Amino acid sequence: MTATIELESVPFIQKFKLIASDNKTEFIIDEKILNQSAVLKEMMEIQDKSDTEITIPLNQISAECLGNVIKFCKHYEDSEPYLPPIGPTACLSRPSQSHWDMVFLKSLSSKQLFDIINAANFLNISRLIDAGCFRLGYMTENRTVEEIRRIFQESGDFSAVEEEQIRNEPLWN
Amino acid sequence: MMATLSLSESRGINVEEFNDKLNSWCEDFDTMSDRQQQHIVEKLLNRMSHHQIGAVDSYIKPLLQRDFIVLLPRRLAESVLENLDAKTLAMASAVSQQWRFVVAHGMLWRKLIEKHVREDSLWRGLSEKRGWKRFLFISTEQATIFIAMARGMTKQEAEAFRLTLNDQLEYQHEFYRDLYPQIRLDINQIEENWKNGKFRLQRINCQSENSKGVYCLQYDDHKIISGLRDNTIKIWNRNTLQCRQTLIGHTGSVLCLQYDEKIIASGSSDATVRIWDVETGEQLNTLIHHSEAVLHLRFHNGMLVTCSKDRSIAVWTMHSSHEIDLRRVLVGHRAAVNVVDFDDTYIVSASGDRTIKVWRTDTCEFIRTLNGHKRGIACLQYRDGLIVSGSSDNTIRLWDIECGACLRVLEGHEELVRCIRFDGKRIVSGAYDGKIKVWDLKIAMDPRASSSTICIKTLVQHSGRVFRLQFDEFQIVSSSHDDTILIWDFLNTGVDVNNLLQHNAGVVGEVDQAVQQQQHQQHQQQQHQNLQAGPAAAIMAPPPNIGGGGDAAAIPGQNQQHQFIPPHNNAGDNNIEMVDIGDGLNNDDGDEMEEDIPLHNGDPIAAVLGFENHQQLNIINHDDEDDAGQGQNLEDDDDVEQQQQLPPQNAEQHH
Repeated sequence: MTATIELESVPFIQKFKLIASDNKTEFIIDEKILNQSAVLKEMMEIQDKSDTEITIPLNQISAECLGNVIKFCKHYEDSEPYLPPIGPTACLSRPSQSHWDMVFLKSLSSKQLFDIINAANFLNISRLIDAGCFRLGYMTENRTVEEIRRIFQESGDFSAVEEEQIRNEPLWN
Repeated sequence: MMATLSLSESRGINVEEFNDKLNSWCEDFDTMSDRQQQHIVEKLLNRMSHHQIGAVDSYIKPLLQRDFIVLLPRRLAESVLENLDAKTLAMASAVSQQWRFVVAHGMLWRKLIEKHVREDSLWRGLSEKRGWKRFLFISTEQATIFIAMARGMTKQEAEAFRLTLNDQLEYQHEFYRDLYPQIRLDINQIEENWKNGKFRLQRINCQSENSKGVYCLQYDDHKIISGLRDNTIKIWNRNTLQCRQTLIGHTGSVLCLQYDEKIIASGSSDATVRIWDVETGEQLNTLIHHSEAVLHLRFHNGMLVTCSKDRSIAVWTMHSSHEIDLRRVLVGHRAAVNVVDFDDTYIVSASGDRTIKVWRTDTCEFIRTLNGHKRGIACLQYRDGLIVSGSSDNTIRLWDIECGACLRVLEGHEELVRCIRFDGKRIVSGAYDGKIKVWDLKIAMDPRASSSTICIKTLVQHSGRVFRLQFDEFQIVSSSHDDTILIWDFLNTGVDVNNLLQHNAGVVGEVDQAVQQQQHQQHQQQQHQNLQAGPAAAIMAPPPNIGGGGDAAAIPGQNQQHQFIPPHNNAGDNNIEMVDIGDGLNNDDGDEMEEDIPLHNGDPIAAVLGFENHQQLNIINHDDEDDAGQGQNLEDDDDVEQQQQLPPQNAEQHH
């Protein structure tokens, strides 16, 4: 089944066709979305743009995940470019739980969230990477160890002695 | 997993037989090596259809993708955990070896501490005072060496030790993880000390010979600069409490001062403002403009504002310490202007006429008058949209500068509130009865809070009027008519001050020098012991050289405004209805502050000199005869005489 999702249809705008890992699903996007990915932006800067449509196969990203990534970027297509603070004192102010980013990411399943963060990392979409990290932080915050293990499906691999030691650390009291 | 899969696909043999075979296969499988097991699975998979393998895949994936922290690139895993608070970070480190590894190798405890130090002045101050700042904002290699040294190694040993470590971050992890809760404990203790009034008191006896009293002060980690009633400015060594330098020049009491890293500006009852080199003590400039005592001054960012008993406020542009031009004179108050404060937006002044006035900093335009105090206003501070004022009506008022509303009245002082300061947490006020009160600002700002809960503590050690105080997260420094400067240390409480006082046969607060020395030594020993006990209390690092109070920094050479009037030209300038302030009670107290002035019934006109359109001030008339009749004018005879002896004032300003 071929799903072609047209997100922008104004003429005279350079179009890009992203193809998901299934080699079938295509997403047609414009520069406003493409440029949010530092990787794609850099890739396209050395491309000849005479074609009306440039095809970019993304074998590593599933159709579902790519759809989510584009949905996120679409929300920010008219925003100022995202400039994450850099340097040793860089400090992001954390978005509230009701921020659009957080709500969007919360609507995803664990697997979808994991995929979208990895895809954001692969495509180097700073805003989405940061948002994903904040979302994971919220999933962790104010949880007990047992809750964190359950949420992240992690089984503790400390020995009984180590567990005991950890529980006696001053921060626990 | 293969078992269940086979079960669902079972064909040919019955369930019982299948189960038997399965169990025996599994037993055999368990005895094999990893490699052999993998080989078997590979063989089996090769015998299966594409469809079957797809199903197998869906079983394998969740087994692998179970944990973000483990599966994400480490940089991302770190930034997930970087946003956590301390408690969650502690929990996260206990989830699994992998999580702990990410916390340790992301230096997340260190980053958390560094974040607090960057964002919170209490943490920043503590990091300097307790010396653990040296473990922050440094390279991994340096950190290892400093930590090893804090644990008892010499520098050489620590350097050698560093090279033997395969994992420095692992080594540092525990140090920072343990440092964090110790800092928390330390902070909690300081908060408790404030709440319970537990402090170590240090006392400077100024031993002024003739007229005793300390009108003003400012401090930093190294020094206290004080302005005295005996006309001098004295600079005290913060550690030894000895007088390092005496600046002589003023011919009247030094009523106000402020310094930054370059200069001291002082105002006096000799009506002058003098500028001194903060390092050498050399007098650099004298500003002669006011016709009576200069009661208060503030400077910041190339701008100086002075106010005087002559009822005017002068705004100056400081190009350099030698080149200070009068920019504007603000007139409108109908009695002495006791205090001014300003930031980039507003100039705020308060007067014996019971009002606070707000002016624009850039244009010097008058904005509004805040009415509420029932008697003259002695002191005020303004920052971040909030004004806190203290008055001769014994109350403190909190005001919203934007709307002019009085947010809260603090009652509790039994005499005139002479000095006041506030930060993000507390208000500290000093009164004529010698008492200092500490108030909780957050509670005071909460309109629903009961007023009885706002005052945290009353500190009684001064035996005379409290003239001036400054405080930070760790201490209050106050000065008084009793000729002393007191340092109330809530950080290192050491020997309980009350016991010391009892030993001294009831002499209020007479802690002698020897005891102080002893305390100091004990304190240092204590610190040394702490160091060995744990990483948090490392050796005291020398504190940085920062101008005290964080109040201001003068940057000379700002762009010059038009000078509207010559400096010597304004005294007695028209437009002001003169109010007789000469008669009042002579209280023999030497306080130059104008306490309360009977308000004139006339229609007051206030003008901003230099403006083409004079601003009409809308001052509510207090036609309260009784109140007016009680107006007190606290005046120092000596100072007044000295003023009268001054030669006619000419522009003595150096250019």
